[in-house]
Amino acid sequence: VKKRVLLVAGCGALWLCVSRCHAVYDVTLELDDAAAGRGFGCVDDAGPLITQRLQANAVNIVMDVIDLGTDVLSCRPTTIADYCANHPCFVRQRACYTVDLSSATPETAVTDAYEQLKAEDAGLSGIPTDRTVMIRFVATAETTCDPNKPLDGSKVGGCVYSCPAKLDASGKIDLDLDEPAFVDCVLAVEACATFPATN
Amino acid sequence: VLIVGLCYPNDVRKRLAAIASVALGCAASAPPRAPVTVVVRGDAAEVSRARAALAASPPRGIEVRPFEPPPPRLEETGPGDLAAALDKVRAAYDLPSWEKCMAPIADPALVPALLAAGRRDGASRVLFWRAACLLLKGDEAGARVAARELAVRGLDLPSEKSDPAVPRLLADVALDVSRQQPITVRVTSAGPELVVSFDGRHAVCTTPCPIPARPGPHTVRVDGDGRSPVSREVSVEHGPVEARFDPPAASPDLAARQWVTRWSSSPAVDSAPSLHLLADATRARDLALMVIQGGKRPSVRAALLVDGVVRARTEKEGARGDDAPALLRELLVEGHVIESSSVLKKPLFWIAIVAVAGAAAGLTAYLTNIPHTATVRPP
Repeated sequence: VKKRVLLVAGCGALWLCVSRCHAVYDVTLELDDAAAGRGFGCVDDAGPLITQRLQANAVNIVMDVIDLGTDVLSCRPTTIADYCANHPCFVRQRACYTVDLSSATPETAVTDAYEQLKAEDAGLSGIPTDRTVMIRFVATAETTCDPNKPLDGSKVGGCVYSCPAKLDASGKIDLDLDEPAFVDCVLAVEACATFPATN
Repeated sequence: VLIVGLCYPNDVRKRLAAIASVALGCAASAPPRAPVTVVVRGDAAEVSRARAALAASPPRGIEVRPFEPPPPRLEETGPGDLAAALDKVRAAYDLPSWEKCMAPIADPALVPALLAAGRRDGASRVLFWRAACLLLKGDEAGARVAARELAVRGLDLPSEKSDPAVPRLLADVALDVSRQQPITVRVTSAGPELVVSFDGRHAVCTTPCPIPARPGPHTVRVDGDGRSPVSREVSVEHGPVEARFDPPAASPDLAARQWVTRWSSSPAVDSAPSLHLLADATRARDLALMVIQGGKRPSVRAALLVDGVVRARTEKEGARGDDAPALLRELLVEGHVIESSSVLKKPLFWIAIVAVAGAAAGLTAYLTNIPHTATVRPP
């Protein structure tokens, strides 16, 4: 009987430790070439937004965690926008990274930025796994990193975001920019960067 | 506790360590062993095996104290050498010498002592010869007193050789006595029921009881388990008489002999009165009696007395002397002298189970509500 009691106690203790030790999940962001092209390759009549709006030697990359509540949402921009019109959506956390693109061309800017971000260890931690969140990546000329201050769309050179998800498992999450056919890419990038409107 | 404790802060660890040390301390300090007096009776071979088994492997936490009852009590015989005294009386009567005839039987305490010992025949012969010796003296009144005492006590006439005048006198007086109305002697006791012997008749009744008696002297004796026997002369004259007795408690040795005499061979050896008497004899707080039957159909009967109360009984068919320790343990558990070794029967176990279940439920609730988080890293 003593052995059984010890066994049960041991299992309980193990379960307790395991339960506590696995309470934090690691999520890495993925950005493929096509997605980078849609989010950071926007070109208008005056040329690429990245070169128009950003100072090449100090590009501010903003990573946001946008809280969308607890409901499960689809990835469609209109669905998310409609939802946030009636529910509190806000930037929960923000991290900023500065990259130097002075030696990059418009074609290689994203790749260069990507390579420099790889060296960054600091991420955003403490994201509740029971909240539905979106991860957003914005390249902007603004130097502020205040999550309570909305980004200025006119200073944004590129933007990608993830689908709404609960980060309750370790893994990778894709970033992209869903660009409707009837909207030009500048509007799409600015809408991506300034969402949510309530912020 | 150690493993779980590692998951907690220092102050919680200290408390857990304190709890663990107290628990270990409790477990380490063995309680003193409780003495239990054990009496084993029955088949001699099985009794020996039981005693050996109990000595070799007593129940845990118990000090087995075997008790060997003394030999049976010798019956009180009253005054000794009566036959020799009566031979002298008879010889003196034939001389004739009334003084020598009377001398050996003149003591007035002789007849009550003989009757207290249940020797009615001896008392009858003493009274007969008193009457004869007094008639030899020419004291008919005195002879009538002796004859009357013989009749009043309801003693049978002895077949002694004497002058025919003696039996004639005795018969005459007996006729007179028989015409008198009996008077009630009510014998009562202050404590428990006592067995009453009246004029040498054993176990006439148990107290309280009325006994019809002819007017005159009577010898009343009372006996009881755990009490010293007491006898007293009660004089009955005109009206009802109450004789109240409160005999002193028997000594342990006397109680042991009483038990051996009255109960050890009785089928009711494990009855409550038997056990109570045995407890008096052993002076034991916790007393276990085991009666072992051997042969082709072995069995063990056992009973446990705690503080004068029968707390547990058991009977096992097929059990033998070797099973005595297990049966004793069973008795002691049933009698709540010791706790069952099975954790399922320990209240503390179930309290611990409920506590652990509660703690587990609490922990589960706590862990379920732990704000699990994610860390997002840039590409």
